[in-house]
Amino acid sequence: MNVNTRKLTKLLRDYGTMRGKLVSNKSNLDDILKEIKEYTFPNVVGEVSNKRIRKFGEGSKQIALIDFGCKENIIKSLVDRDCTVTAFPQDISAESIIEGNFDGILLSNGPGNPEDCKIAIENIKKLYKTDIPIMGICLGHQLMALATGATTAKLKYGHRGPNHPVKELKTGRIFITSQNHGYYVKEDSINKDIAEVSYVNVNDGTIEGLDYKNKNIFTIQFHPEACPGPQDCAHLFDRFLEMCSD
Amino acid sequence: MPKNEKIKKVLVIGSGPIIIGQAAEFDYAGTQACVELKKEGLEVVLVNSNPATIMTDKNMADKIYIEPLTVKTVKKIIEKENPDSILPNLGGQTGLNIAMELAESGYLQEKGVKLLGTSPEGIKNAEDRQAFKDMMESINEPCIASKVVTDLQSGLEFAREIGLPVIIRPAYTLGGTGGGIAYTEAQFNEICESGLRLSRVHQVLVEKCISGWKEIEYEVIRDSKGNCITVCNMENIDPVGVHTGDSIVVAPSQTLSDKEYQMLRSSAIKIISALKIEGGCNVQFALNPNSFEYAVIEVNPRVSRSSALASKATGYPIAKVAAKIAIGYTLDEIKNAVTGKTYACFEPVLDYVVVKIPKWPFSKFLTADRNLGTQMKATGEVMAIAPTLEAGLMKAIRSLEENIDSLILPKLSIYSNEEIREELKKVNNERIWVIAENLRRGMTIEQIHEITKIDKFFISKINNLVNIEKELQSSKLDADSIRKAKKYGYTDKVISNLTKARIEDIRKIREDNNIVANFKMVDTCAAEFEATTPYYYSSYDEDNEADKKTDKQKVVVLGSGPIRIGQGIEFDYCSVHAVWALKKKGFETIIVNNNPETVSTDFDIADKLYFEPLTPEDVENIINVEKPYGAIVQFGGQTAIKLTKALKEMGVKILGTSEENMDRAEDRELFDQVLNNCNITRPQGGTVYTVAEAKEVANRLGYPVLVRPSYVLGGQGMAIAYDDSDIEKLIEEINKIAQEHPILVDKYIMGKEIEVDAICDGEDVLIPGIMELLERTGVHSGDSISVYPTQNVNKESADKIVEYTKLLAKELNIIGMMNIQFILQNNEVYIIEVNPRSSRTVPYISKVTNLPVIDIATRVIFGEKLKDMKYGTGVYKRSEYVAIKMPVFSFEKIKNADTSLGPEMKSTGEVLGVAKNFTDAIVKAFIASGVNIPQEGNILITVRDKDKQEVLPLAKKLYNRGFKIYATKGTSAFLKQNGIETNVLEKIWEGAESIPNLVEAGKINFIINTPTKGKESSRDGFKIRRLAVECKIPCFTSLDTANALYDAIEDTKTEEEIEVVDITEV
Repeated sequence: MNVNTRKLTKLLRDYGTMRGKLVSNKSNLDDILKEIKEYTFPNVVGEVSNKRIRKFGEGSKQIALIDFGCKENIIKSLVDRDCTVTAFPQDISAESIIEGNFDGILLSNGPGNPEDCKIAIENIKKLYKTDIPIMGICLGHQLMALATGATTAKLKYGHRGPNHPVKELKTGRIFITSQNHGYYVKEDSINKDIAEVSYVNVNDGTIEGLDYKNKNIFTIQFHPEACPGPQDCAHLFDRFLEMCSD
Repeated sequence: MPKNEKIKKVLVIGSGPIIIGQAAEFDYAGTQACVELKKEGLEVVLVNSNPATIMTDKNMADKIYIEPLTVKTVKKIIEKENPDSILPNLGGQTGLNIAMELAESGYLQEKGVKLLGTSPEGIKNAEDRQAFKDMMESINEPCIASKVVTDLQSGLEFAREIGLPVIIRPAYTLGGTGGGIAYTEAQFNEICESGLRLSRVHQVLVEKCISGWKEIEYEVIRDSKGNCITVCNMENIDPVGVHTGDSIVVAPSQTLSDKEYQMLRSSAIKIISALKIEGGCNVQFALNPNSFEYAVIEVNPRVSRSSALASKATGYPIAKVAAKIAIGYTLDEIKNAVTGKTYACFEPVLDYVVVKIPKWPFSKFLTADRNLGTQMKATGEVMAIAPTLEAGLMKAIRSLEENIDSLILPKLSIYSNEEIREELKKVNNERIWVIAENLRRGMTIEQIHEITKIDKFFISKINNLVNIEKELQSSKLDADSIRKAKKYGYTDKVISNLTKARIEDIRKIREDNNIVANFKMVDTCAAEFEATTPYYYSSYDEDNEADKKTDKQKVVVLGSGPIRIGQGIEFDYCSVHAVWALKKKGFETIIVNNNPETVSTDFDIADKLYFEPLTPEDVENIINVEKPYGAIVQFGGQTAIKLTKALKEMGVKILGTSEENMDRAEDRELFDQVLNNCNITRPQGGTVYTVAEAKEVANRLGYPVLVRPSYVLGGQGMAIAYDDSDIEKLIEEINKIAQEHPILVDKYIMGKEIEVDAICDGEDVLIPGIMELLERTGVHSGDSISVYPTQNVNKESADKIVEYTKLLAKELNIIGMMNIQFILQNNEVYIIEVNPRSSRTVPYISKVTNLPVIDIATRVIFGEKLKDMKYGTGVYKRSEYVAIKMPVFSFEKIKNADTSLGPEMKSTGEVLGVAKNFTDAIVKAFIASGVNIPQEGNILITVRDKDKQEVLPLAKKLYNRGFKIYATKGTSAFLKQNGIETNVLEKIWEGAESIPNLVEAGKINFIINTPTKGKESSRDGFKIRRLAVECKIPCFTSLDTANALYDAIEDTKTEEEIEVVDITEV
C-alpha cells in the first residue's frame, strides 16, 4: 500500500537498474542497505529452470523446449498449435535433444545475464550445427547470439512493459510487444554472414530479433506469447511451426 | 511512407454548432488538424457554421467559411476553392456525413477531389448497420443478435423473435438520437417509430438487450501501412444500456484481467484492419462479466468524444496524429510530442486513474426526464486525474459545479430506507450518490451489485469513500486521518463538514505536518522516459514534479469548466486567446481547467496545463506551487469569476477589473449606485430573499416582473412572473439551493434588446460592434437571434448606447472586457445588466469585425493603452457584411423539456450567417441551424390571446404568399374575423386532421405557438411543442423569430444563389 511507483520508476530511469527491497519498516535502514548491497543470485537460471523433464500436450509436432525459466504461455502457445512439448532442464546436453529426434527446438526466456549460462551456450553451439529448426525467445535469443559469436550488454534500465514498439525491417511494419529484459545483443558484434537483424526497437533502435542465414533459426528479444501484453506477434509461433514442418 | 506530395490544398469540414452528442471535442480535433496541416505547408480551406470555435479563427486556416454545413454549400465552396482533397474524419458525424454524401454521389470523383484518410467503403462498412454486421460476420467478430429494419412491422416481428427487452438504434444519427430500450411492445412501437423518422436513411437497428454486461471502449489508430496501436481503453462504470456519453467512464479499464483486455484489444485491431481505417477510430464492446463472451457494439470511423477524452487521459494527441496519417505519414515517422523522444507508434501507459463524469442540463429543464438510456443527454463533461479511483471520483464530482463536493447528496437524507432502495433501481444522473447513500444505510456491496449490475469493484471504491466519511465523523481529527482523507480526494471543506472542525484548524494541521498537494506529470509513459510537456494533476503523494524553474513572470488563466447551457465553448475560445496573448507578452502561461473536450486543455496551448477542479482549494494548491504574478478571471465565464474572491484572499493579484468593481456590477444595490452616478435608468426593481418580500416588490412594481438570482450565467433560474402564484413557484425553485446572494425582482419592460461588448483601458473604450437581438426582452440573449451591425437602431439611440457604455466602463473602472445588455423602448435606453467579463458574443464579434478582441483586452490588462494601438477608440468601423448569430437547440435529446423560449437560456450552440445584406444572412443562418425555409406549404398557428393581434400581420403575409394556415379554434376564429381563411382544428388530438396526424404526416412546414404564460405552459401547448421537436419541425415560440423566418421566406434566393463568404477577406 502506498508505494509511489512513479518515484521508483524515475529513480530507475535516472540511475539505472539497481537492487531494491520492499520493507514495511525503515528503522533499521543500515541493515537493510547492507543486505541489499551484499545480495547476489548466482546461478539464477539454474534456480528457476525446472529440474525435471516434463511433457505437455499430445500434438503431432514434437518440440523440445529448453527451460531457462520458461513462461507457461510459451508452452501453451505451442500446445494450442498441435504440438507435443517436452520441456528440458537448462543444463540438458545437446546430444540428448538431438537424439530425441524433435521437429523443432524452442529456447525459452529466462532471467539474468546471458553470459552466465555457460553450459547452455556450449549446447546451443552444437544445436546450431544441426538442421533442427530453432526459435529463441528473450534469453533464448541472447544465448543463440552468444553461441554464434555475438556479444551482449546490459541496458540502463531494461525494456519492461507491454507497450514496446518493434519494427519488422523486412516489411516496415510496427508491432506492439510485451518485453521484459535487461540485456541486449550488440549490433556491431553480429557477423553479417551468420545472422541479420529482423526486428529493432522503435524507441532506442536496439536489436529485437535475428534471422540466422541458411538456417531454420530465428530468435526474438520480445515475448510473442504475451500474457501479460499484446498478442500482436503470436503469428511467430506459426512461422516457427512452418519451419518445423519442412 | 512520407507525406503525399500530391496533396496541396485541403478542405476541412467542421462539426457545426454545439449540440448534445457533438460538442467542443471537434473544435479540439479540428484545431489540432488545421495546425498540423498548416505546419506541413498545406493550404487549408475550412468550413464550419460554428462561429464560437477556435478552428474558425483567422490564423487557423487560409480560407475560412462560416457557412451552413450542407451538401449544397460545401459543393459551392469546393467549386470556388478547388481543393485537391477533403479531410472528413475530424468534423464529427456532421463532417463525415457530408463527405460521404459527396463521395457516394460521385461528385468528388467528378471534381477530382480525394477523400483523405479512410476510404468511403471503409466508412460505409463501419457506419451502415447491415454492412457493418456483414463485415463483422466475415471476420468472425461477434455482434449482438440484431436486425436492420426500415418499417415498424418487421421490427416488431424481429423483437418478438429474439425476445424483449431490445435496444433500438437509429442509423446515421448523432449521440444515438431517438434510440432507446423497449421492455414492452407499446414502448417498442413508440421508440421504433421515432427512430425511423430521425434516421437519415430511415433505418433502425433492433438488437438483443444485453444490459448488465460491461461496456468497454478502445481508441485505436491505424496508418496506411497497416500499423495499429491502441491509445487507451476505457471502462464505463455504468454497464451496457447507458449511452457512453452519459456514463461515468474510467481510464484505463479497472476490472479486466489481462486475458480480457488483450482479447478485446486484439479484436479492436482486427476490426480496424478489416475496415482499413486510416486515422483514429473508436471501438465499443460489451463484455459478459461472467465469461469471456463479448460483442462489438459499434465502431466510429473517425475521431470522437471518446478520442478527445483518450487524448487528454493519456497525453497522446489522437487528432494530430490522425491528420498526419491522412496526408501520408505512418506511425513510425511521427514523433510523440509529449516525450519528444519516443514515436507515435507506441501505446501509452497510465500510472494514474482518469474519471469522466457527464454534465447534464437537468437543472435547466425541470420537466425533463432524468433517466439515462441509449439517448445521450449530457451537454458536456468533466475529467479528473488522480492516483486513485476514489480521489479521481471526488475531484470529478466537484468539477461538475453542481454545489456538491462529495458523495453526500443532501436531498437523499429525507428518503426512508425503503425509498432509497427503490431509488437504486433508477438509472439516472444521481445514481452514484444513491449508491453511496445505500451503503451508508448498511446495504452491502453485493446487494447493490445485484440491483445495479455495476461491478463490485466500483461499488467497493464508493464504499471506501463512505468509510472515510464515517471515520472522519467518528474519530479524532489528527494528521493521520487528514492525510488519509486528502489521499482519498476530500477537500478541507468536506472534512470540516464531516468532522465539524473549523477549516482553519484543518489547514493548520496540514501545514504543521506538511500535508500538501504535489503535482505529477501526465507523460504518456508512466515516467519511463523523460517528458517535456508540462501537463499536471495533483496528488497527496510526495515528490512534486511541477517545479520547472523559469525566469518569466507567471500568469494563471482560469478556464470555464464543463460545457453547459449558458457557458459553452465561447469561453474556451476566450481563455485560449488570452493564453496566446499572454505568451506574446512574454509571460509564462498557466491554464487550469477540467474539460477534456476543449482546446484549452490541449497541452500545446499554455506553458503549463493543470487538469484540476476549479474550486478555491484546488486552485490554491496550484497557486502555492506556482506563485504567479497574477490571475486573469474575466475570460473563463462565471466559473472563473466565482473564484475571484478566493484568489484575492490567497493574495493573488486579480489582473484587469478589480474584485471590488466586479462586485459593483454584480451586486444589485451597489449597481444601483453605479447607475445613479452615471445617471442611467434601469427597470425598477428590488432585492429579496423570501416569497413575501418578492410579492411585495412585484405588486409595488406591477406585474409582469422578471425574477432571477444574482451571480449566475445563462439566466439560470430566471423567469417572468405574471402573478403572485408565479412568484411563489419561482422563489421556491430558486431557494432550493441555498442562495449566498439576494434574488432580484425587476419590472419587465418589453422592448428591443441590444448587446455590446467593449474593451476599456481605464481611459478609453473600444466597442467592436453593437448587436441587435431580434427577439424582444424576455427571451434570453443567448437564445435570441443576434444581428451585427444593428439594422433597426437609430443614430440617437446608438449614440446613447455608446455614451452609456463609456460611462459605465469608467464608473466601474473596467480594465479589459465588459458586456452590457440594454433595452430599447420608444427611444429610451435602459440597462439590463453589466457583466464585467468576456461574453458569449466575443468570438462571433471578433470574427465578423476582424478585431482580435481578446488579444486587445489582454494587452490592455497589462497596461497598454487603446489609443496607442491601431484599432482606434469608440465604436469600431461598421462591417460591410451582416452577420447573424442564431441559436441551436438540442431539445430532441431531452425528453419532456419545454422548448418555449424565455429568460432562462436553453440553446446549446450557435451558427452564423454572413452575407452582404440582412435577408441573405438570415437565410444562411436559418439553413445553418437546420431550419428549412419553405416557399409554400402549411403553417400551424396557435397563440395565446394577448398575441393574437400581433400575429395578425404575419399571418396575413403568409396567407397572401399562398401558405395554407391551420389554426386552433381560438386563433382560427380571430384570424377569420380578420379576413384570413384557415383550416380550423376543432380537436387538437383527435380526428383525421388532428395536430399529431398532420405533423407526423409531414404536412406542416412550421408551427407558431406562444406559451400561455410564463413557465407554466398549458399542457396542450407543451405537447404541441414536444411533438414538433420529435418530428423535427420548427416551432417558433416567439413571434419575433417567426417574423425573421418570414424575412427569409421573402428573400426567395436559394442556398445555391447566395454567395459564400471567406471571412478572412471580410
